[in-house]
Amino acid sequence: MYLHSAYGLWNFMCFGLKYDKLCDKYPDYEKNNIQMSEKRPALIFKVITECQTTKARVGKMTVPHHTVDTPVFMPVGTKGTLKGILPEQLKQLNCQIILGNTYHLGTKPGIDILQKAGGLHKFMNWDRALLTDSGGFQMVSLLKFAEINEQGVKFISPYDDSECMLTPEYSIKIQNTIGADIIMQLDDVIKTTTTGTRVEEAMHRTTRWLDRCLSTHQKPNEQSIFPIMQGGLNAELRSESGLQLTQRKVNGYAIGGLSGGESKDDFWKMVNVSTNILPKDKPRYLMGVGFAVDLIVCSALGVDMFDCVFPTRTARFGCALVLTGQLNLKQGQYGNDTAPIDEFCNCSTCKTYSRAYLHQIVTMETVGCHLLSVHNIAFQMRLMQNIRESIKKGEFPQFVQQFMLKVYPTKEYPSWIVDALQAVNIYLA
Amino acid sequence: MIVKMKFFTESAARCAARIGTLSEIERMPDLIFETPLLLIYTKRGCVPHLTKDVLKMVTTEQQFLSVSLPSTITMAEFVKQTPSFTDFVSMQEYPTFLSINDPAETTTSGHQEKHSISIWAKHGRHILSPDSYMDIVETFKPDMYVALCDGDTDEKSSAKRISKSIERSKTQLETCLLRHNSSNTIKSKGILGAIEGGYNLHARERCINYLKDKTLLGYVIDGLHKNGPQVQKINTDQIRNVIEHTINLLPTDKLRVSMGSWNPATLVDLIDMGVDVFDSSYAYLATEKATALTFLCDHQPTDNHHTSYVISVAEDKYADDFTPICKSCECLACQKYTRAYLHHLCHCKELLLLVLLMIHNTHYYLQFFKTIRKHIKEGTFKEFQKKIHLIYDKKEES
Repeated sequence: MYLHSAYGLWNFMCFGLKYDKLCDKYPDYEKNNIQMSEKRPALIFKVITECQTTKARVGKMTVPHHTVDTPVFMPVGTKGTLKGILPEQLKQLNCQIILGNTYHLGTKPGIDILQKAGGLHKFMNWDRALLTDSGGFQMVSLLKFAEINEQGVKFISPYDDSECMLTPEYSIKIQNTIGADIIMQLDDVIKTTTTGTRVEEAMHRTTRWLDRCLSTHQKPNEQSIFPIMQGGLNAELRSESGLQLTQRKVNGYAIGGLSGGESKDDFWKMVNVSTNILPKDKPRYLMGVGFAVDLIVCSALGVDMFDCVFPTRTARFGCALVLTGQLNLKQGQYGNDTAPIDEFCNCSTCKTYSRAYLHQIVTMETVGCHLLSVHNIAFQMRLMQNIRESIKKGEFPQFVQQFMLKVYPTKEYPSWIVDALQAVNIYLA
Repeated sequence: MIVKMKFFTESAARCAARIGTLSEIERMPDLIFETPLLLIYTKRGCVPHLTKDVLKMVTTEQQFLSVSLPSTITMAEFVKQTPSFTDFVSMQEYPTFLSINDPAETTTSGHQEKHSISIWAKHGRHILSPDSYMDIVETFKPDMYVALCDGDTDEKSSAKRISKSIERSKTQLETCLLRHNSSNTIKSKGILGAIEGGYNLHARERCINYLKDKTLLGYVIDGLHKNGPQVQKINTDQIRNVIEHTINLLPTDKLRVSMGSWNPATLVDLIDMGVDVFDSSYAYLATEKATALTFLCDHQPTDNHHTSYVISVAEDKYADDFTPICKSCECLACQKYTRAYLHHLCHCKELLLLVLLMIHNTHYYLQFFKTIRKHIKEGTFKEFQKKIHLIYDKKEES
């Protein structure tokens, strides 16, 4: 409990600091805040239950298309479809919010078509919540000649070799057209392991770009822009980024610049720093995280939203998620295995099919891929539901301990997990 | 007492469209299927692109599945660990018909031996003797199956090849029937004999004369083509003589099956000549080409200059077409998704395209068969047949 109260104090101090700084730098902040809040918010976040031991919490996030239970995992439907899974099936899986990628959607079908279709929800027949990224990450990761300057991300079009520029304004314009409930600011993306002045530059620029995004945003009553916290693996810079972002009127925050090849030690510490700074009454979205143990640790650290392509990507390669990792169903050992992937899983794949049959069709029939995607999404959804329920019942610390014991039956816990959990008062013995 | 699968028809006409029933399937004694019947095409134990829960979104009615050996033969050793093929692939609630060749894949010719035939699976050739085939049948336990046969003939086959195919099919049937009648696990299943003979009327007659005395549920009119997409191009004119001749020689109280991806115009003609059972490989092949079947739709004004038989969703004109594939179609794909979305999925090579097209095409073809049965019952089949030809022949000209 000692650590917990220390955390409370730290949070309190931070808030005092935040508020002072913000009023110094932005005299109009209070006025703006009041003006904006008169309109119906595009996002209402209510914390239902807080874990008494850790920073975990259960919340309800209401956006125009749906009310989402948090902590939540958001499957990625890059191009307006989730790898062969029908929206009808996603609903059966209790999926409440999915992701679309702005870069891909802006290229195909393009904003003209999305405009004519009346937005992505209608175009893809998804009536629950949607979130889109800014497109910046794809620019930097997919395109060879991307160059970032103050104006935006400059790149050579892969289609006709012409020079293009993705600016904060253009990113928001596309995202306004796509019409997702939650949209992301364009951020200055750097490699996670970058050090030195570039990290600081990116952090400050990200704040400047946030302001440009907010001022160009056309649908503040329908869509919420989430700023993206930067600062690399430097706690001070990350705190500074957090301070700057929390001075803006926004409905939630993303924690960026992680899950990109950094050490697990750096990873959890940065998440911890980030959630310490971010206000408790707004949802926190950790980008690109989706492994089961990561989801549990980061939920304990106070993260509310996650996304990752991993569950659906690994399905395409014939892999099914289980508590202890994944089963590669292509392997010969499953040929005679009449058990389901997971006998405790209640997804339609596990209720219906054996590993032996899946072995016959994975990577041969698209149905094999669909069945594994269904299972893998169900696995993620069930995990998040278990997290939420254990928090509500006040049993989250025990749930975490039991879960880790199942994953590491010999109790050889990775030190980063032990340390991260210890920081929120869970001890793995 | 053993229940045996039954076919019944009131129609006494030899070579005409007819309504019949398939019943007393041992596993599902309460089920009755009406003919003309469409078997749903499966590959490796599933309807391509459709998981079982999605298949149930296509149709909640009971369906009969077609299963073929090339995509399933390598499963045999694993199926042995389970009660039957449908148990292994988790399709227990569906009756199955086992065929030798895959109607959607062009059969590799040759390698037929005196006492064995060859089939080609993904990883190579499998040699099947009547006994090894019957071992598979006893393992798979299909509700209906065809005796091993050499159907490796088409319109180009020589007299010698045809003669061999008849002789071999005959000896293979003998062994299969012997095994069938003495096996407790399969003697209540429906066994069909294959009528071979290519396009030679005499050969067909020889074959039928031999089959007539056998105790069979019915016949597969085989040896007309080598499966795969080419079958769609066959016009009725090319097969009318041989089909009419064959059917006129057949007893009226036996089931008549014709496998292959016949186009709708040829298909209605085959029904008109008295064929009872088909498979849905045509709908599957349409899906693989990224096309949606529209031959029964009321066509929109934009389509007037070119009444389409199918629409190809890759075409640019669909990029901003926010109408469904077919306004009057009640399938999930037409109720909830637009041509523009399908076009987008097609250009992104997304798997959901094939899911949605397969939903539509399968639903559409099942509806087609419902409509056919309705017209036969109401005595309006000839008009319907003409309507289908009108649409199809227009497409041929364009």
